[in-house]
Amino acid sequence: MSRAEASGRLDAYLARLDAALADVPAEERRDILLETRGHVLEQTGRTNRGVDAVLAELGAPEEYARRFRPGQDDAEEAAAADEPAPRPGALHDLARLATGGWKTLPLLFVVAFWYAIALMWLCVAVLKLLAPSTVGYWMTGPEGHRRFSFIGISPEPRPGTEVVGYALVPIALLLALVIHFAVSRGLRMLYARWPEPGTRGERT
Amino acid sequence: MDLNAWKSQLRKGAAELAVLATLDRHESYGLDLLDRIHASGGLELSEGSIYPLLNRLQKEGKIRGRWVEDPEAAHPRKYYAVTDEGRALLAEMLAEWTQFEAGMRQILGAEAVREPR
Repeated sequence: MSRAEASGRLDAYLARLDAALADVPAEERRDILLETRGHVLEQTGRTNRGVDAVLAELGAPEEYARRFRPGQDDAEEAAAADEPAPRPGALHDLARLATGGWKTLPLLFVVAFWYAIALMWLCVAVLKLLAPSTVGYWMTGPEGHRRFSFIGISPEPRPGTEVVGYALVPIALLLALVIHFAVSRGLRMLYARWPEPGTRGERT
Repeated sequence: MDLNAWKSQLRKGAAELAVLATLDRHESYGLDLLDRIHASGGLELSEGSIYPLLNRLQKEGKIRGRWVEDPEAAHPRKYYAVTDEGRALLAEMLAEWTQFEAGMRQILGAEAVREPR
């Protein structure tokens, strides 16, 4: 790397650091930038490390800037140390149900049923786009005396008029999502009270 | 908890004491301070953590920085010295440290002096 190139890298780093420290008082910011600049120049001069290597030691400018925020560094590291293990998703919960033996079987049926319903609504949304005439909400009877006749997917033409139209797509998607979240949420609440063997007290 | 996480926690508390104690003996700039601490071999401090630490100690009034044009350097250096407040804190920290060290020795007992196999 040429001297000009190295100086360009350093300047670019300092510019990003400057921007990341925008909310720091001007004098303090100037000091940090000057000090960083001096450090990099001196460290590259006395070791054989290039500018990039010395800058890498400091970390990305935005990350480095964060370490100058009061309490930020400590709070972050403490948070990182205390971070709980990632919560397994709904699929994991479902797998637990499926492998839980006869005790969880009834629950598995309930959950599977609701997931199937959610899936059905997803299909309704997709089918409405692919084959609009076969999906809808039909009503019969004269204006003012309409009666519900059919909602869902019908391979044959339905009697009456379809009243929802393409609005069915977002409605069906919403229903699928709501059911999905409700079931996942329910599973979680259930498992919060009934922890998986071996996970409780794992982190101490 | 893995060893590295534990080591970083351990160093965290020691870093401030090491910086204050070193600056109390020699007014130093960042890189010089880092060299002095590393020369002792007991504590690893990263280049990315020393300046934020100095910045915080200065803001807390424990150390004071001044810019110096060293003839040997092409750029100004910021030299730090311990303030009276910092010296008082250092004395308290040293007392705590001594007590902590003695306590730990007691707890660890024979473990601490046993040769690693």
